[in-house]
Amino acid sequence: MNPFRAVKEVFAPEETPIAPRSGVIGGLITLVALAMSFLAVIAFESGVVADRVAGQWAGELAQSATVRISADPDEIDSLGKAALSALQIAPGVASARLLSESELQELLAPWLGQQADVGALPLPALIDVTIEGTGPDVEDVQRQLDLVAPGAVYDDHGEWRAPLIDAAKGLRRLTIIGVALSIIVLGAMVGVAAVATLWSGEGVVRTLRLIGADDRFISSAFERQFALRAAIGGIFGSAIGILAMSRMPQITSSELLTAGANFGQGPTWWLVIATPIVCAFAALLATKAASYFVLRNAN
Amino acid sequence: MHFLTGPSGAGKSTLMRLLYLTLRPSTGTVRVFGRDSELINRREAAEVRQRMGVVLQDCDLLDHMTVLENIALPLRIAGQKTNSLMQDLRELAAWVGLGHRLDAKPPELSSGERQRAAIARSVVNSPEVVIADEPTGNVDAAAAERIMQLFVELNKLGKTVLIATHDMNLMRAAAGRKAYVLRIDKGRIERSGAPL
Repeated sequence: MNPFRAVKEVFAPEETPIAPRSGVIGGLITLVALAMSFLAVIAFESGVVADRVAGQWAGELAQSATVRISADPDEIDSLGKAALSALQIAPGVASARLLSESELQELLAPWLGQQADVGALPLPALIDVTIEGTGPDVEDVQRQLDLVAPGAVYDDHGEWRAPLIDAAKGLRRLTIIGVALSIIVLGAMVGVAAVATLWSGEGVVRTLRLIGADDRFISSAFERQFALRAAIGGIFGSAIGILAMSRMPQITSSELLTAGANFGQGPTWWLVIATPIVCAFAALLATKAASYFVLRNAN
Repeated sequence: MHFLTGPSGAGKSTLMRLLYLTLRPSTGTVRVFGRDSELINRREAAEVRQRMGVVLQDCDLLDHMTVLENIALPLRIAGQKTNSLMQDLRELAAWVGLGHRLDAKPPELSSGERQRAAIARSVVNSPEVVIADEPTGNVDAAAAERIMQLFVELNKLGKTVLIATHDMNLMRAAAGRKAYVLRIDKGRIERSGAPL
């Protein structure tokens, strides 16, 4: 069906529709579709953004590892260099770099301030490891480190990554549930409206039957009206939802915690097209089911 | 032309409903166009009804449509585009005396006008048989006579017409036509196939 013709058929039909205008019920369907598609877009967008951020965190952490060396201050430099040498030849390690005092100071700045003298603190030495492929065998690397730098601990960030991956999965599930619930609620509302309209339009159904209309024809007369109203609600609801999301504050910082948290970085604008189609389809199915129920039971 | 007569409550409407398949027999067999009605499914029943024109006492026009749109409705159900048939539709409306009320909606019409619109609708797709159940039940005597004349004209055009009525006077309109009477009372046939 041509969407422009379909919309025109609702507002300025060439032929009078077979089903009488659904009036208040039709308006309510549009309103419910608008609200549900707005909520679906918000849920979907929030899920996409949260999933993207969690994925990015997990991805970044997966590509790096940290070696922490705790030792007496007079031994720490030599142990650090020994550990660095061992790491640089380990398979699965792309590069390894000993963090300087100023980098350590920067890491601790949020807690101790920029002016803190970290040199006076008994801090461990840290080696930033960039891994390649699936990374080194953790147990193997740890054994090598134990030999050359006792007290060195290889941390592949697995402890940090696991909850982030779980969070991403959870958000994905919640997004799917949120969108599915919106569609189900819309379908249920349209179904109830269709049943009410068919029962109240019992005379129309009887007349159509009498002059040779089958159940499919009668059902389609109502389906089209409801589906188009749901689609129109979907267009406005999704447009408002996307507009609302696009007006959220944009985060320009590239820091780890906020990177990727902006709206519009993923394939989200197609929602303006997809949401009305989904709304119309849900309405179509709901009306079909309602019609089947009513027409079967009304002789 | 056939008349189904009998007092109120005799079972005329029940027999008519059995014929246009909105009622199924609890016992016995009803054959419609040569087929046992019990074996006709819902979709086929719709096809059967497209082969017959049905006129009821309460007209059953769609109030949100104009007279012309109501008359054209069976064509839309049959999947035909009505735009190219407008002239024919207007002529049909004029034949039933509604040429001047094409854009009126049913609530704006008199009972007689509504019934004539229903008759026009019943024949628009050239049915093989026209079934009318008390078609003059809600109209005055003058309108009833006019409606009966329309059925007689349809019969002259070669249509089989079956009319259920308890008003014996109406049958006089068919005087001179080959007409038969089936009389029933309390669900039983009293007289079958008697000439008028």
